[in-house]
Amino acid sequence: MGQGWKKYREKIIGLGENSSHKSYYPELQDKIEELETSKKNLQTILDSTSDSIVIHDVDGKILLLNNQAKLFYNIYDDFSKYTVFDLSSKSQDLDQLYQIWEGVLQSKGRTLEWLARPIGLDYEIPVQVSLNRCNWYGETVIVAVVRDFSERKKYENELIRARKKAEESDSLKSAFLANLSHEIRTPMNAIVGFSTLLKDEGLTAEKRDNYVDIIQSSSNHLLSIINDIIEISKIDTNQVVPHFKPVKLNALLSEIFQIFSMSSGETGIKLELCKPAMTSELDIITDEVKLRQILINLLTNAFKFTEKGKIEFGYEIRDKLRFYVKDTGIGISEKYHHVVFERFRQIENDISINKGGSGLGLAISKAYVEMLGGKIHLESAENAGSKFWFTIPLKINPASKDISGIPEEALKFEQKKAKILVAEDEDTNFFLLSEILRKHDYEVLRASNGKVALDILSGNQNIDLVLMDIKMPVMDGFKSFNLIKKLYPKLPVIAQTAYTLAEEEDRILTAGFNGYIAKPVNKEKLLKAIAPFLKRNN
Amino acid sequence: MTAEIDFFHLDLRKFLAPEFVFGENARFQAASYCKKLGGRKVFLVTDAGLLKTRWVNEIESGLNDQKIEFDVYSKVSPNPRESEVMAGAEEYRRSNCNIILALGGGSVIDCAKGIGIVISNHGDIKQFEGVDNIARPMPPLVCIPTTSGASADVSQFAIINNKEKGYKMAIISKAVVPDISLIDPVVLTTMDDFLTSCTGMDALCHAFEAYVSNASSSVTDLFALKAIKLLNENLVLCLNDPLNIQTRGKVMLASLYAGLAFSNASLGCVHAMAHSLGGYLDLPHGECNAILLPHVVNYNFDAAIEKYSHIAHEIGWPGNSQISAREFLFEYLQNLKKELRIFSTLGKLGVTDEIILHLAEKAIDDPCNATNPRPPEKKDLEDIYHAAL
Repeated sequence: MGQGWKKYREKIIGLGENSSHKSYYPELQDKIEELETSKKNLQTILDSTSDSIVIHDVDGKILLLNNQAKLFYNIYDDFSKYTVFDLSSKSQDLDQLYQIWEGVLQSKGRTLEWLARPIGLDYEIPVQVSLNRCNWYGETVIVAVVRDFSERKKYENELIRARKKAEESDSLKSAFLANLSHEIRTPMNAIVGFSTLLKDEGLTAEKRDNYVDIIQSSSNHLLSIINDIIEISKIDTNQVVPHFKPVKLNALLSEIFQIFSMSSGETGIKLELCKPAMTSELDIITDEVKLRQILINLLTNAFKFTEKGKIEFGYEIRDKLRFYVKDTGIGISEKYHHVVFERFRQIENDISINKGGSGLGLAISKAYVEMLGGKIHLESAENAGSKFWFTIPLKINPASKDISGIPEEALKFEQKKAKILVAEDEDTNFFLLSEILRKHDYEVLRASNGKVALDILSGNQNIDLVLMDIKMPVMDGFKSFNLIKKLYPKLPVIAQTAYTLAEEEDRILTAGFNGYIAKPVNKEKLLKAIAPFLKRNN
Repeated sequence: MTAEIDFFHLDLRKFLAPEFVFGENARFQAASYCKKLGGRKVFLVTDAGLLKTRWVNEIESGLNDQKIEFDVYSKVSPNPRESEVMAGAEEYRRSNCNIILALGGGSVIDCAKGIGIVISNHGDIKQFEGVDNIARPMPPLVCIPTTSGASADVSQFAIINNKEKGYKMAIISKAVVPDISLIDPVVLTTMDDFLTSCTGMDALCHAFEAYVSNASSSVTDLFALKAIKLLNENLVLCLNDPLNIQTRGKVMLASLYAGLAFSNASLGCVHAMAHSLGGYLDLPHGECNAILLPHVVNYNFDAAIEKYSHIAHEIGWPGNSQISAREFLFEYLQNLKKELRIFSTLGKLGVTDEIILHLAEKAIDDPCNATNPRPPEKKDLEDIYHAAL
């Protein structure tokens, strides 16, 4: 039996739970529903984004984190106990953060790069943070959108590096091309010009030979320029690496001396090689090819820019090996000192252009010196000659027989490399001195009297010190000393004599001897007496 | 009557009433209330008959004075149809209104409620049939009732005619209570006698059914009984002196009381059967009620002897054994119809046995049955229809 009305009974006497009698604006109701929907959507969006979103109250306390923020900051417990300061790396300036925070509270929204720190973890993560003030359920809050910049930072740095490198190589390439075109033009002009002249039918044999010579020398010049350019290009692209091997230094220098003695003969410029006085060959570890090239470059330059006088090269031993090439040439004005070693830079001056060259010799030399672990320097002034000197580390070949066992200190130049001339007529006396000195690696030369001493000195200016006996045949010590002081005023001369009279000693010192030791010779006293002079001279 | 008085029901009962302004020229408050409720553009719902009265013009000029735009919708027939509701909602949206002002009788106000429901809740008005099915409040609704009977201006009811299925849908919800009702007896003066009679009988019916409703409360009883007394004393007088504001005012007040009573206590079989009947034959609601009421009282009497006895006392039953309260009430109602010049019976209106089957079929599902003092079966309704032929 149908009684459809029955279902209504409860509702009629009910309180009307499903509806409100009060009218609202439908627009308002629409807005309420829109808000509810957008709130749900907002939560979905917040949790879907791969950025961390953190909502802080004005004091920085966390009010809300999206899922990504929980993961990123490692927060799985009650987040309300953390503040924005807990989320920042300790290396960040918290005063700065405070200032930024105050700014954002005054509606100055900001986007900045920052270092974040996950809670309880000991590392920092580069991030980009956008901070904005807004209203969240009636409360003023700051919304932080945090983007992990680790990967981006990495790429950015790589990009910066790559760009820098590209820019460098680009400018190098440009300079290389500019230099190439400039430098090869001169010899090429000569080659092209003179080969054209060779076609001249009325050419004399003499002229033709002359032209051929010019073409040949220009060709050689061109070749050397190209070699230099290739070499500096290789240096710039890190394709040149040193090959360290044992090198017999004195032999190497002698060989170079031989090479340049030819130039010396042709130009009339005197060439001198100065090596420290040593009884043995110095066997060191370095790159022989590069060292040779450095010295050849410097010597080539010296010959190029020296018209008269002499060129001196050699080395000294200090805590490092110190090589030098010194000329009496035109010199280099101080204002150019800072550019002479620069790549693709040449002092625009007539002589350098006339003398040709790629202008890369010094750049290559500098690169090589640095590759070998040293530095190159210039001492020069206009019309006062130049002295290029460079250092490389002093590494004794461990396999070296002659020097092994000598204490590191003994390798110091003043105790073992000096050349000492002993003027002594008595064989036993000389033998004793010679034994002591040689044992301490001094080079010893003997003169049997004062006259012989003068002869030896005139033929060997590398002598660093003279030990002069007083009582000798032919020419005694006083006479010989007086002549030496006239000829070589800076050469230290120490008297050694068996005279022990106070009167004798006074006379020796009055004469101007640099020192005095009494016979029989005491080893310690001898070494102590000579050391200051050798040190001072070098 | 001692038993009822001694036992005081404390079951939960809500009492819901809109804000209303009762009195002469209350209608002039319409524009200012629209403004107070945030009205930007008013959707004025009325009907063709009222367009001929001065009430519409008065309201329009009031709105113009308040500089409130409006759109007039008057395609409302008696027993308003779902299609009129949907068309109204369409026009409301199209003209971008945000408040509804209903000027009219039950049909106009119910149609306005229907439009409001659809505006806020979307969908079809048919979806909201039944009790407490409206989730979203409708736009602000201001009512000016022009009849003294339907009381749609204070009730939780909206009755819409489902033409397709041939019955009137009852929509009962707090959501359809207007925001403000401007109850002005002056506007009753344009009613003709038949309309006065029918709507008056509707009000009486509301009071009777609310009073005997099994969902009635002390508060609704108060209003119901007072409404019956006022109608008994004043309704017939309106026919003799239609322009008398005093009697019109009392009948208007009676209608308001009856409305407050039935809105909260609900109704009974008279309305269930009238909804079906009026829907099927498109008859005036008050006329249907007037015809059915005596027979339903007869049917219900034994289930609510005390309540009916109170009513009988209120309208002059001597209370002696010469005539029972049932007989007194039946005769009173039949005589009142005649005095109100309502002479129809269902038979005269074209109802047949066959039609009764259909009417009962629909009527039995009406929510109004739920509060009838005697729980009806379909057969009971058929019998009542037969009795009213």
